[in-house]
Amino acid sequence: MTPPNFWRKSLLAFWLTAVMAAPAIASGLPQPTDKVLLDISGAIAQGNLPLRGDASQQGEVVAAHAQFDMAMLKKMPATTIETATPWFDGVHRLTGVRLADLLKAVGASGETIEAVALNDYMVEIPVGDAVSDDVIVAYAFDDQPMSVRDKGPLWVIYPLTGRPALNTPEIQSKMIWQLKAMTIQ
Amino acid sequence: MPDRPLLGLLGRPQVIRMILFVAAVLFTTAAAASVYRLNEERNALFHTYRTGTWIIAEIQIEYLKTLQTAEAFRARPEQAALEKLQTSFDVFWSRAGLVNTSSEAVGVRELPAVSAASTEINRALPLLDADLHKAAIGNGDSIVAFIEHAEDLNLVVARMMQQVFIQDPLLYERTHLVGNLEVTNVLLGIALLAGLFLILMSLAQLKRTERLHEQNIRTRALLETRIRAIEATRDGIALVAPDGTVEFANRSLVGLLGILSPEIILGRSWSDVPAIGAVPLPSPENGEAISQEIAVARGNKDARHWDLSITPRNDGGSVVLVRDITDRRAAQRQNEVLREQFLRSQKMEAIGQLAGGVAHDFNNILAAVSGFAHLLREDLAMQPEQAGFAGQIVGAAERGKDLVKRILSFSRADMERQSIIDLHQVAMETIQMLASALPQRHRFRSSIPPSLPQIRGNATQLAQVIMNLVLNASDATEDNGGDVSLEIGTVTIDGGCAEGLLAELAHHVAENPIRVVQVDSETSKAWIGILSPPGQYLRIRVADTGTGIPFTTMERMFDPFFTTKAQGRGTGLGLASVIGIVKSHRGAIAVESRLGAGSEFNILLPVAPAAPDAADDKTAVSSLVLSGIRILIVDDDIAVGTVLQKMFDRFDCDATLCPDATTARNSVVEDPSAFDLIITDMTMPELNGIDLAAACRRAGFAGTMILVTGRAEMVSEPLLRSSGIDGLIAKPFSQEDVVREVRHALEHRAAAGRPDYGES
Repeated sequence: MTPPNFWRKSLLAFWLTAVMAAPAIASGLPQPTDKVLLDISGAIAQGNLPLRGDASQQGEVVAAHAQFDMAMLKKMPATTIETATPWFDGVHRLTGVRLADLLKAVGASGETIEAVALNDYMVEIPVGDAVSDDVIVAYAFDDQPMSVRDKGPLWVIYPLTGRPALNTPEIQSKMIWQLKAMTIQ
Repeated sequence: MPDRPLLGLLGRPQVIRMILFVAAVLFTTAAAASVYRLNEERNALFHTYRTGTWIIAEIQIEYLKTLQTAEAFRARPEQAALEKLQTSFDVFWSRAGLVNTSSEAVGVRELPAVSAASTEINRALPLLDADLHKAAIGNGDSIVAFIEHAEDLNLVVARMMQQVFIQDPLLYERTHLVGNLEVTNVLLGIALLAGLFLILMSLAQLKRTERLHEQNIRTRALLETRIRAIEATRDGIALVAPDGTVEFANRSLVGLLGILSPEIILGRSWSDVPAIGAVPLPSPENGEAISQEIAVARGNKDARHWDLSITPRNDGGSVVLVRDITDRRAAQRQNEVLREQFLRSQKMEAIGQLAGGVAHDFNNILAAVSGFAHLLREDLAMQPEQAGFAGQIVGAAERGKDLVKRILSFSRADMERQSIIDLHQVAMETIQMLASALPQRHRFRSSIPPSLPQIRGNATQLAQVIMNLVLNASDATEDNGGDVSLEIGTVTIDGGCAEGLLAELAHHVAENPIRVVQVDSETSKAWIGILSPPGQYLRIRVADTGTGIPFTTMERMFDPFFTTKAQGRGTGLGLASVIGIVKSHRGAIAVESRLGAGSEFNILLPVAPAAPDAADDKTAVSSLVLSGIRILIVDDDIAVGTVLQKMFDRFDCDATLCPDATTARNSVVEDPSAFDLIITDMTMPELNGIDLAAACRRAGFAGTMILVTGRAEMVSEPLLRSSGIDGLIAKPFSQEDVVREVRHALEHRAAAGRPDYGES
């Protein structure tokens, strides 16, 4: 036996908790049946994929992993934002899932979201923004699905038109399109 | 060009100010717009640099990634690789479209080369998509075609990237930016200049305003001075507005009109103004000033005379000037009366001198007539009828003598000389003269006792007093036919004076003590002068039953120039001169009058103390024998001289007549003892009687000398004595007068001896 180590103990306790809770969680989030559009990982409590890694052998942190297809997203409560953005002319309807609802669905407990696009472009979105600013992950543009060529299929949208304070280059840079994955930290 | 409206307009400060203001606003707005545009351009530049370049770079990245995934798929044609390739191509597609749609690519989109490249890429995308589709359904060569076609774009994408990095046109755009900046600066400069001019103009305007303000203050001060002058003047001034209402009235006018305040007539119509409103305002058409005199009655006082002038103003209103000229007119009238009086007195003096001259000659004639008539009467004693004729001549000569005497009484030079006189004689003479002047002589009666106490006074003046009072009384009775009476009597005054007068005298000793009392509505009394001491007085009472004197007239009737008589009939000096004369005689006047019943004037004059009169001596009859006396008669009037000579001839005197004074003097000088008596006329050419007498005395003449003159009152006693003259014969004379005076003088000379002129 190696001498007891504080971090090691803590991680072990975390792992045990996660493993024991897993069957119950897995039952709350359905499995994707179609092509996976969004992959959420990191500090989340619920996932719908088998846990990765082997804690007993490698001592790595094993986290939950959730995947969503379009049907799963559309099953969640939909929110519509009418806003203008620097990437298209005029105001358009953007429909999607509130980022806050999404984080709740996966039991996210971190403070920052690392969002990654199809071309591996990455930005950090504070979890606080998701709650206070009604940010959505849009899947429909003027009620039409968005193709990759049209910056789809998922697009993080801040309600710029309703809140001029948000209409800054910094916020605009967080409105990532062709979203494919989020890591909660 | 008669006028230049534009320049005139520009000359106005407010127009210039407006233009400058508009220019400043316009240029400032333009400058602001320019700044805004500059900002926009700066933003565009910013986008071009930052976001645009990033978008182009991403296109190149995704292009290269797509080529890479395509090569991987050709090497291992598996499903996973194909999906990766499709995703990569889609992403590339989405990036390529951004050049034309994204606002982040605004800057680079405007670069022609970028725009052209973007168009070429977007045109190639569907072809590539078709190739990829064929490859997906199992056509192995299609992926080769895809790669070949995609590689064709390599140069295009690289050139686009290259253009973005070089950004030559953007440098050009920056020049444009600088140009814009310059324009902005110019605009701002112009706006600044306009603002500066505006400020300068405002400063100048401020100065001018201050100057105007000071000028305004000065003008107001000047106006106030004028208004004060208008208020201070004694003339009434009013301003009448064009609509005929009074818009201003000064204090003097208010006083003249007798109203309480100017407000009573201000704003009222001119015709409502009392007294002067009746005069119509001048019509604005002819524009000529009105100037007229009006009489204004004010209550029970005398009417006032106003000089009213109304001058039209050029705005249609009028200026009214009212001047009270009553006093000036009164003064003018007084001046006229004075001048008239002066002329009359001059005339009187001339007439007096003339009368004196005539009387002198006339006396000589009468002396001759009377003398010769006396002689005739004596010579014709045996012929009673002829003696009667001579007596008639003597009588006529006596009447002539009286007449001459009366005429002379008005030409006497020494009107003021007072002597002991008999008022009876004065009164009778006056009545005689009045008889012709009184229009209704039958209504005049007089009561003058023959023996009155003598008084000291001037007969002429007292005659004038009586005449004035009687004539006034006569005028007062002219209308109602009343009676006039003149009484002279003696009264005894026991002291004091008229009631209430004494108290007043204590304050006004030196002035005319006059007291006028209104007893009742019809009766008035007046007392003038004070009597002292108590004792006997002569009273001249002139009473009439005429119209009576109103109190208001009584108050003023003794004032000089006050008259109730018609113009030209009275001088207003009659009663005034009565006062003066009575005062000089230490007398007093009491007047009582009752309206409708008549008036009574009482003149009180002190009686002269009784004194032995020298005249008594003259009346003593002398029986001195005249025969043989050598007499020299000197008279340039041969007739008079001859009468005397003939008279003395009757007494067997040795009378020599010498008509020339110088010859007479020479003969006396030659032999002073040749004559016992020299009788000389007073008025002679070359040498008068007095001078002749003096010359004779100097030559040693010791005899008696008698002066004959028609103007006895002109020769004083001391003058006679100093000239050595012993007696005086007044012309015209009677034989009795001559003989009596000659005897008296001879006795006087004899009694006096010859102390001064005795022969050695």
